Amino acid sequence: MDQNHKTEYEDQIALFALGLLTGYELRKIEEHLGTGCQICTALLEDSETVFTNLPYVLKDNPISPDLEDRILDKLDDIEERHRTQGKSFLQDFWKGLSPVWLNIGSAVAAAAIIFLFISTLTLQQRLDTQEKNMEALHAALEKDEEMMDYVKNPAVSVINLAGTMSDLESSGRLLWDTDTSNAILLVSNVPELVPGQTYQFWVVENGKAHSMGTFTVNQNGEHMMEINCMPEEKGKIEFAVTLEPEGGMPEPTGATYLVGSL
Amino acid sequence: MGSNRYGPKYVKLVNCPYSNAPNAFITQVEMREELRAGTDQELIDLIKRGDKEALREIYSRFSQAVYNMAFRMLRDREDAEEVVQEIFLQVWNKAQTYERGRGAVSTWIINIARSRSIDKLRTLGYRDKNTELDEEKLNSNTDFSRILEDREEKNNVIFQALSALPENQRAVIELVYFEGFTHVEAAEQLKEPVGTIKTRLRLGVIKLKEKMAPYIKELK
Repeated sequence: MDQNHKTEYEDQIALFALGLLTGYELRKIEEHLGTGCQICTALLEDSETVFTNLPYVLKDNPISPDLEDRILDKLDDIEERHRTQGKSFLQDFWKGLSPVWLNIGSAVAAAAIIFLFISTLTLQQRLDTQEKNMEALHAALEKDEEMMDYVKNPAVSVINLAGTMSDLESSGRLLWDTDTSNAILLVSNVPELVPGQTYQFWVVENGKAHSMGTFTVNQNGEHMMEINCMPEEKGKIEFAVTLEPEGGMPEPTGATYLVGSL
Repeated sequence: MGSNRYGPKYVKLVNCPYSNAPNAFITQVEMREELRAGTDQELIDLIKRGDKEALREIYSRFSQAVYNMAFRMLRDREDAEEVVQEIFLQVWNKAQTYERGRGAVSTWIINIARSRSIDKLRTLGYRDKNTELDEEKLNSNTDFSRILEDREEKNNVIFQALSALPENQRAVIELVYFEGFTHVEAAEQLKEPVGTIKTRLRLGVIKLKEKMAPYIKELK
């Protein structure tokens, strides 16, 4: 039993701390640590302590004295570029997430134009199709306007969710209208699911996780989820997206893909 | 303690457009000194609010360690400096997502440094370009003897702990930590089963932690 525990879990902890575990091995260790195993938790702390301090054993090599200023200059350049390009928060927001649904209006319009040129349908058929497309366009525009109004609302807090997998560029944003219990969760670059799995969004208050629902993602790893049961904004609240069996779980059990906090 | 102590003063100074204005009641020198006295976490909180002086202080605390590590892994001054630049830009850009519950600031920064260096190492042909690494990988028992020569006593503790490790454990730490190998690659390099590599890494970490334990506060 002890030997099994050593080979199955303890031998993996240092690799986990170094970010060397992936896939099944990673998930297994995360689940095991989630059980609160004291031996492995202590070993993880030891590993982090050792790996944080190991670089201090290295002999100092001279750094270019202007490197610090170069970094600060680079920051200034980035900020200036943002200013001169007149990027608003909203523009950054759209560009950062590049969600398909944000361009649905223009996509539908483009599809409608192409359709007009290539269609061999009769005029009546064309008109019918156009009407349908117009309805879709109106619906998309209404949705966009609704989204814009929501984002512009000063009561809406934007909480960034960071990816926990270093080899992925996963990210997410929670747009939380703190005056109501409504929120919108947007995720991007999250890995596609295999059958039998789902992502689950959690709000963690005082260490207790509350499920806000499950979702899947499209081929681009994107999804938008509307939530209407957010808690009151008080104290420290954390957010997480985990991988769970299809249908969701009463509490988080799987690998954590996104985290953030208020 | 941190936010009460630093928040209002710095916000007031930063917002003041005239350095001689009455409300600029602390000088740049005083501000710098207070930053030096701040904890890593307090500095990150200031960075979250856009304080570049706090980023300078974080740089002064960690740049040498992360540069040493990047230089050790990449063996190229220019590439190592590029990694250092990326690290501190990332600290600035990702400070909002840093959570103290997920580990110390130092752990966070060192992890970013290691990860960025490995990314660079794994770019096509990097290892081939630095062919002298191969010999050293197999003679890793010589590596630590040249790593550190003139440290103060408290930092020497880690060096002594490393030196005291059995050679096979030290070789694994050398390959996996300082050379950026995966455990599978290290197993191939040392011609040992992967399970043996994992066990040696665990045992090495435990022994290092035991040796470091009395000095942990100082080291952190």
